[in-house]
Amino acid sequence: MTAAMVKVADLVSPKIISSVHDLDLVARWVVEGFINGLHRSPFVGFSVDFASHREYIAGDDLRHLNWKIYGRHDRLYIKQYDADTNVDMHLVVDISGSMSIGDGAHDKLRYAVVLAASLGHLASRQRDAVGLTLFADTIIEKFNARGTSDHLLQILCALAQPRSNPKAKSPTVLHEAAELIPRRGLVVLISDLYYDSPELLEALDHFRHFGHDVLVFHILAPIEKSMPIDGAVKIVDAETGEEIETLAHEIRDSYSQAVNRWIDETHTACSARNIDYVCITTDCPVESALLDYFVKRSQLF
Amino acid sequence: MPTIQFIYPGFLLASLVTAIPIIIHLLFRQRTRTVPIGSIRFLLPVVKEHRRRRKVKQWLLLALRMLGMLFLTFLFCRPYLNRSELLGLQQEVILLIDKSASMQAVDARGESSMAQAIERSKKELARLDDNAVVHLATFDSTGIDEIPVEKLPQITTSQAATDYGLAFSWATDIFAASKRASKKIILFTDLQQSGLQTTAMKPLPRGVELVLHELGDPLARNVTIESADATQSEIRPESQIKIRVNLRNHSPLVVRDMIVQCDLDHATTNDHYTQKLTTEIPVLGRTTLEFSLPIKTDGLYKGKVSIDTDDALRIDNTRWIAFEARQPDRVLLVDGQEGRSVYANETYYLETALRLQMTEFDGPVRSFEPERIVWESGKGFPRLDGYRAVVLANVRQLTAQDADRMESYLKDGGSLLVFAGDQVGPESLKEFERSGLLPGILGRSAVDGRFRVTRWDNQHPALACFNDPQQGDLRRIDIRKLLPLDSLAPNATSLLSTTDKIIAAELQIGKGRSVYFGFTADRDWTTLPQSPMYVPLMRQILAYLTDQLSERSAVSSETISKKGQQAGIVPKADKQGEWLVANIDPRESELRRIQADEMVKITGAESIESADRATALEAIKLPEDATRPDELWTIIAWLLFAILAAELLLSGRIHA
Repeated sequence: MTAAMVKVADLVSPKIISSVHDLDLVARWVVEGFINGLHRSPFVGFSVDFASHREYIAGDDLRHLNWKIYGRHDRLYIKQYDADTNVDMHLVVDISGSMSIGDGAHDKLRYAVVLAASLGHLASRQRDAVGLTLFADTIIEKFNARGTSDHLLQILCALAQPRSNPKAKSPTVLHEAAELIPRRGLVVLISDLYYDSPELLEALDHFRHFGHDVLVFHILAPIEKSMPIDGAVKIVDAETGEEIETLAHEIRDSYSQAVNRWIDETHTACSARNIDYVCITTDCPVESALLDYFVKRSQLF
Repeated sequence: MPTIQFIYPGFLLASLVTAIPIIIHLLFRQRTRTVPIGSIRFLLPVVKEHRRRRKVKQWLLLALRMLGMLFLTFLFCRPYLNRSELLGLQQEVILLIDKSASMQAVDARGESSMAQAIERSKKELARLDDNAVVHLATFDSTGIDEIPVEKLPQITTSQAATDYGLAFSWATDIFAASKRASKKIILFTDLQQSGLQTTAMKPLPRGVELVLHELGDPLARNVTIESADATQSEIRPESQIKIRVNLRNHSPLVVRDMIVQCDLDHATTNDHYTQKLTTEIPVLGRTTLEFSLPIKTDGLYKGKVSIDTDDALRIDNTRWIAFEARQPDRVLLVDGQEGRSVYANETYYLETALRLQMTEFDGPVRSFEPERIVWESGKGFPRLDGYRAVVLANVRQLTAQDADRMESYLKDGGSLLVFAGDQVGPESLKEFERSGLLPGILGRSAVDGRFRVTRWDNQHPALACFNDPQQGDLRRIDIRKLLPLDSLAPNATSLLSTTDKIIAAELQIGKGRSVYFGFTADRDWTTLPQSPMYVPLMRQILAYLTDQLSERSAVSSETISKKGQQAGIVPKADKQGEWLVANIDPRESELRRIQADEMVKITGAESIESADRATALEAIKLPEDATRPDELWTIIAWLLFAILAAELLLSGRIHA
């Protein structure tokens, strides 16, 4: 599956947008924000857009009580606002050859693009600035973070644009990406992470070095994680073109163990660096993957 | 080494089905799908690790499937394990084939027992491994003949009797020298009970297995001529030559209207006599027939008695016979004086003894033709031609002319027997003494006393029979008066004597013989005529003097007892002019059989296996679906089951 098959309509589908509609994107780290919100930002927000009311529940901040309604109806209501913060979210998406495998809904690149677009929408609704870096062995395209809707549209167009999938053996390009991000923010890396682990961690450290909050979406096709096929197969390395013949059912367990060990090691290494790590297979719905992640993030506050 | 053989080897062609798994593998080979993956970095070590293990499993699976097809083919081939090779290295086998006359007996199909024995021997030999030591031998009462295996088809029956004792004794000797663990005797015989009667059976050594092939028809019909003898061989005007024949019916059916034929030929004149009689023999019974033949010419007769019947055993339907027909021996009895009555004659007892018709021990009935005259001095002897012997009893006044005639008579082959008496003395027989016609010098006068025979010539043909006390004890002869010989003439031999006196002596004169007895021929000087010994003694002496004892041996009979001997009449090789009549042992005709369990007791075999079971199965043509006891189909089926289970297990593990 190539990126050429991704349509802009898919990226802005109401289904995706609605699935994350009621989620609050709460940045873990307060970076730089210009709008006051609910989050504990050192920078008090300048503007707050009223959105709606809801009934008070124990624990809500009393500053947001609508005293007028209390006086008129003797009921406690909390005012809700559209945005709590404003951050730069920089999407770093891997479009190398290894991301081109899979077909249909299980296309890794398509999945990564949809995920990136969804996150872009979320950020846009939060009035966060959204940037994008597409990379393979080099940086293919880069957009600095901006908060306009036109900019989001450009990003979506860039994601949907068909491209060749060059080979990428080294994560060196991530160092370049880290250098090119002008302000601290949330860096969302979407990749299959088929790199040498020390090199990858060095690159992630590079992001952390500039104070970025880093989220890693580790995208794998089901076949890459659990080999859910039987029989004789000729497995082709999408990066190198190297081929290997085997019986899928025979190596399934050993292969799965090796991959899970790799995932666990990466997860452990990311946790040690305060990097959030989510491993997703392309058979998981993008909505549920986002939901799981944001629930987990919300529990941190 | 043991080999697996197949009942239906043609199905082995179906073993080509072992290629089916390969064909299936090639035809339905699993096509590989090309699956792209982000990186094979985790696959490479895993695939390398599993590839070698998988190949081993796949080859093993292929081998199991091919083996399964092969075993399925084996099931159709119905394999069985030929253990003979395994046993062969430790096996020594003796094939004993009974070649006695009874093995000529034919069964209902016309097949002889010997033919069956040869056929079964071939099969037994085919079953034996090449490594087994094999002895092939034939046996009968004449002995054992070990023959090369390749000469098996040339074995023929003999005409001798059966002797199991001889055969098993020989086999025991063979096994005694054997170091092989497994020893087996395979016996091919008609199990005649008479085969146990000759040589005593000794138990076989421990561990010897006996396989019994019972041949022939146990209920075979057989009629036999047990004996044929000339009971009257003297030519007499009032009687004919008699041949007595004993017949026996061994079958469980009455034999009716059986024709028995006697054929005789004169040895020199070629006169032929034949006679047929019809008889009936009861079940398992005997009957006796007597042929009367009008033979008038003396001489040797040879021939046979035969029966015309279609029974199982033909060889005992003929019995060879030979005898000498002769005129009675004329004996001239010369009384020294006329008795007051017949009973008072000097030669009364002697004449009576000679006129009796009786057998001379085991020979045919013989008699003498005595002619008595009273001696009249001066008249001399009548014509002595035709007399085989002259007896002088108490004869006196023998002249020189009488002595000359007697000398001439003796030299021509006549015989003289002189008895003493009151009228006999040196004076009365001086001319005989002078002519040397007496075996010694007479004593001067008779002496009274009690004289007993203490010594006799026990080698003398006339007296040898008295070595057996049942024939009479010569020491019991009681002599009250005796005219002994003072001394023996040169070349004379003493026949009877006391401790110091010669009672009787013999002298060879030319072709004739002269015998002197120092007592009377009647009861005057001795009680011998009243003794049971008188008749045999006198007849033996006269038989000797008339050459009956030596002539009787011109024909002798025996049952076949030498290797290669055939029934018939043949001249004796070592004695010219004498003939030997050989016939098969009548016991060979008895087809009565020994029971198998009885054979076990007698032979003392460790185990006895009746080969009838196997041969019977072969004879009745086993049905196609009959199961051999040594078939391996159960083992093959279990192995196939195990292979299929292993294949299922392994294929499950490979394709899981």
